[in-house]
Amino acid sequence: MLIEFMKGAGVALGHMFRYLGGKGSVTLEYPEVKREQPAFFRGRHRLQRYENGLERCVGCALCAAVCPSEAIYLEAAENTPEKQVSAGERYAEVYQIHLLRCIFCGFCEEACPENAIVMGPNYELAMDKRTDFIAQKSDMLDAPEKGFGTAHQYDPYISHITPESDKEAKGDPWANKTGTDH
Amino acid sequence: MPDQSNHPALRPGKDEVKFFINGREVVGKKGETIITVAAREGVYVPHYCWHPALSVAGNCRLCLVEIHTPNPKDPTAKPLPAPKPVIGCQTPISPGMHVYTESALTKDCQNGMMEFLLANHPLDCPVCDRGGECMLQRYSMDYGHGHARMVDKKRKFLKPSADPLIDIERNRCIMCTRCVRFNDEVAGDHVMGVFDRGEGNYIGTFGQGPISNIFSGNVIDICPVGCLTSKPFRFKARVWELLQTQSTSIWDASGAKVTHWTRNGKLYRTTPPSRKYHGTYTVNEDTEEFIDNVTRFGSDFSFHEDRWDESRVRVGSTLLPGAYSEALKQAAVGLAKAKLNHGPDALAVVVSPRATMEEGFLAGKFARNVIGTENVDWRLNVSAPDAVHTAITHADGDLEGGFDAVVLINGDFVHTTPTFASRVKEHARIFGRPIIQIGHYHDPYFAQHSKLRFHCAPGETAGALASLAKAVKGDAQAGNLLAKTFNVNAERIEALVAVMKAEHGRALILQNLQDMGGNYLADEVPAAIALKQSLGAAWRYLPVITDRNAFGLPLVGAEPTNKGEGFAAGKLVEQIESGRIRAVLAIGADPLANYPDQPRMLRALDSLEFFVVSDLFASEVTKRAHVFIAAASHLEKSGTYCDVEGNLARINDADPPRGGSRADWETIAGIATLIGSDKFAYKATEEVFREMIKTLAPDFQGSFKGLLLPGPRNDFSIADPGGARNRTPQYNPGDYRVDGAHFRSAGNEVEFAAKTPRAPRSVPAGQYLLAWGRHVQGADYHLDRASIANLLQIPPYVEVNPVDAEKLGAEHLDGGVLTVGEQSYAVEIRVKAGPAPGVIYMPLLAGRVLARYADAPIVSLEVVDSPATTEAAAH
Repeated sequence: MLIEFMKGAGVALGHMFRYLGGKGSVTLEYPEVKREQPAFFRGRHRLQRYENGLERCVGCALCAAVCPSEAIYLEAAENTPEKQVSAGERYAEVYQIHLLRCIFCGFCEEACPENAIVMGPNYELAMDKRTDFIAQKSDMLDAPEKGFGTAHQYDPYISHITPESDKEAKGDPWANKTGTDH
Repeated sequence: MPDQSNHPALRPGKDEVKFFINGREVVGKKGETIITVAAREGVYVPHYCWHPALSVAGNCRLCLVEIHTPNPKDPTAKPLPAPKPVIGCQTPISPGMHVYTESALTKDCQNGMMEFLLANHPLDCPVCDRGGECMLQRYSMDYGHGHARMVDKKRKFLKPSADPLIDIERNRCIMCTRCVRFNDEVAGDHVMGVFDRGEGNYIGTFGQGPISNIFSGNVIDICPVGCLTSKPFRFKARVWELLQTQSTSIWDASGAKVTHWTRNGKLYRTTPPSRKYHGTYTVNEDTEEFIDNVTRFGSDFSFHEDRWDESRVRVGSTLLPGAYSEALKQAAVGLAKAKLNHGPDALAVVVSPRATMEEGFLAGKFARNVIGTENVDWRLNVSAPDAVHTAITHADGDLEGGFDAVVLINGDFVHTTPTFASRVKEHARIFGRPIIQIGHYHDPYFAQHSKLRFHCAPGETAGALASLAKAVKGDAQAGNLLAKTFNVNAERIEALVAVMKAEHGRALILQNLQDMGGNYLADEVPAAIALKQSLGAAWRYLPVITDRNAFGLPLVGAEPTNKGEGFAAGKLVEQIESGRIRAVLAIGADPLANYPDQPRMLRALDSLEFFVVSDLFASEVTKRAHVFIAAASHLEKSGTYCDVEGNLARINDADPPRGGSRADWETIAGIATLIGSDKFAYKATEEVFREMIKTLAPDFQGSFKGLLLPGPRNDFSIADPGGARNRTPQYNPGDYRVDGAHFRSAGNEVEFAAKTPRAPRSVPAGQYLLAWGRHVQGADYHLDRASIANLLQIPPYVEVNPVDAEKLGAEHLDGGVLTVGEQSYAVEIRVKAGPAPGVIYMPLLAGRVLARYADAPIVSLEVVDSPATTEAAAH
């Protein structure tokens, strides 16, 4: 019996010394150290921009239409030569996601025809006030201080956006199809 | 296509053609096309360019079907396949023909055509406003490929900015030419066309100008793709996000049915009624319910910043906001006090012409049962109240089943009741029925289809109608007199008499009850009714007026029953000045709106001892009220309206009343209850409606099912996600038609004596007679507050006959100065064949300043430099 006990203690002690040595630990010193998420992880939403700074979102509201928990609200407006916000004729003037309603299903990503909304790796979803859970467009585009991630052109987690596909989709939807001009 | 199934000339059994659709035997009438019969039999043939209300163009080729025809040598043998598929919209049916709408060949054709149509179509559905209700999207799913083989560059057009209301995106156009045909045929305005050839084909407007007719907004609905979209609605919302409420127009008596599309308490757009397609409710591109631009774009006036959504009570010289219940109490106390001090006949209840029938009924009940007076009236904008009453109670016509001939008297019908006018024209156009125009104004809208037109000076119409009645009976002398009045030769009169005498299944006399020609209406109405009575049973009489509920309010008792010396809302000022009326309860009515002498009206209102107004906006009138009660707008209440033809239609509440406002029927019932009546305990308009019908027509047998039930609101299902958002009364006009016999019998037996003609008025050389009428795009205190009122309202203009224009040296769209008595007005001169020679026609726009109650005044017109020229010179 003593032999069995010694065997068991040996396993425990073996693990203890191995982990004290820093190899194979499964816990992290959160929040100082953060865990790397897999590419398919569906965390907090981000809105993408093109390289030239124009927003990808054209305010088509397909994300709002497909959202099963009706968490997305948006109001579109028309681009003018003085105020060109997105690449097409239309942009989202108001874009809100209610994070308490959101179930992180990822349908919005899937429905988006412009790859404008993506769900990033950020899983830190705690806030102080209920109203803070309504993510505004600026929170999702470029407001790192609020924990929504940094502004970026190509999200490494969205593998199907390439610089080539980005260039093709950018600008006037008809600009690259130079047909006869009437 | 208008339903003519009741028409005697098209009775079943005549010219029947039996043939087969997908192996099933069906019956059509000779001359009908495959697509019409298929649609009637419930077989859907896809189509873009074909529209039931427009002529056949046959250019989209999507309705290609496979046909087999009987072997001419041996009819019993197997039918022979046609050498190639034919288009269903243009191919007439023939006996024994086999049509296959779902065969492999047909499907292949549809598939191929869809690929051609989509070849140049941009893939911009996410930014296109048509997305979600697009025929191209729908057919692409149902009949298309799912992938594109087009590798070449797509063609690209520059974007025109021709029209302030309609956005034209030519890249999306599939050249169905529906909009071109709509403007030519329905709107009567040849403004759009197809330009360039081959691949460069595009649609546009002539001279890059706007589509400036009153029906132009309908091209948005009938466009099957996203080429023509609404500018006011541009990018505001996606259609599937909006809550639909079936309702009716409040603008004119045509009674157009509409759908209000709202979200979060805001009105986004108004369209013809949406219909169910594939489980969701969408605007139907094949709709024949064309609505005018005022109905389409003007219905959002209740969101104007002038809106007072809190009741107010006068304390000293200011109106202080207060609770609705407090305002009601003050109103009740004030009215009761006025009654006690001056007797019941010193009180008057003025009802808006846009009030619902329920409100009119309660106003009448309140005046009679609670106050004890007959002083209740809706006819604020009417100069000849008794004539209007006579006309409306003698109306017995409608467009149901069509007509063989129609006589239009003194009409600017298209600007009085646009939708109704479009339906009259549709009948005349599709079935080739003759239109006869008589009077001092001929509607240019019907010019294309007017076989006979007879101009006469204002005031001579009544005499002419009397002579016509005699001439039809064979009085040669009357015929001569008529020829003299109309200044035409005898053959034209013979042609007119021949049409009037011909054997008709159904014929109509339409009379415009606008103020055109002022006091003459009092003679013209009996003359028109007398003419109808002398012509026989086939002829029906139908007066036309702008006021939305002009046909409903007289039925429900919102009018004094004592004629002649009784109260008349149009003469409110005179009655206040004479001291007869001391207190007024105005229900949604703005007495100032169309009154010519505004300072006089305001002085009169100031002199009132007690003045209660239930209205929407802060205005000169409401600021003079002792008690202001915030009223709910047409989007926030429910109720019933009656249209020109006697059809009832219901408005439904799209939103709850804003702020502290309440529907007018609640206000009247509340005041009555506070004064001490126990007969006003209603919980909903349906209760008022039931009582109203019981009082008016105890033996009414019709069903009001469709009218009373707003439809399932919570029929949510996965298959029909739109269901939960849509309020969908099933409109079936037959369900709630008011049979004329129930309401209109009073006085129908009275024989109207024909009047002897008046002597023509002598007009000094160089001067003209002025005729006027109201215009739905004119000055109106509701329309003034629509968000795009500046685009909907038209500038003050006069119409001049080409003969007079030549004398004046005026050209179309010149500037002018119209002088009436001592006052002058800057106007735009439009040269049109509408007014008779010697007559100047002016719609009541800024024309509210003109004296309405006189005979046609004699005016002079001076041509000044056209505004465009002046502007150019200034630069």
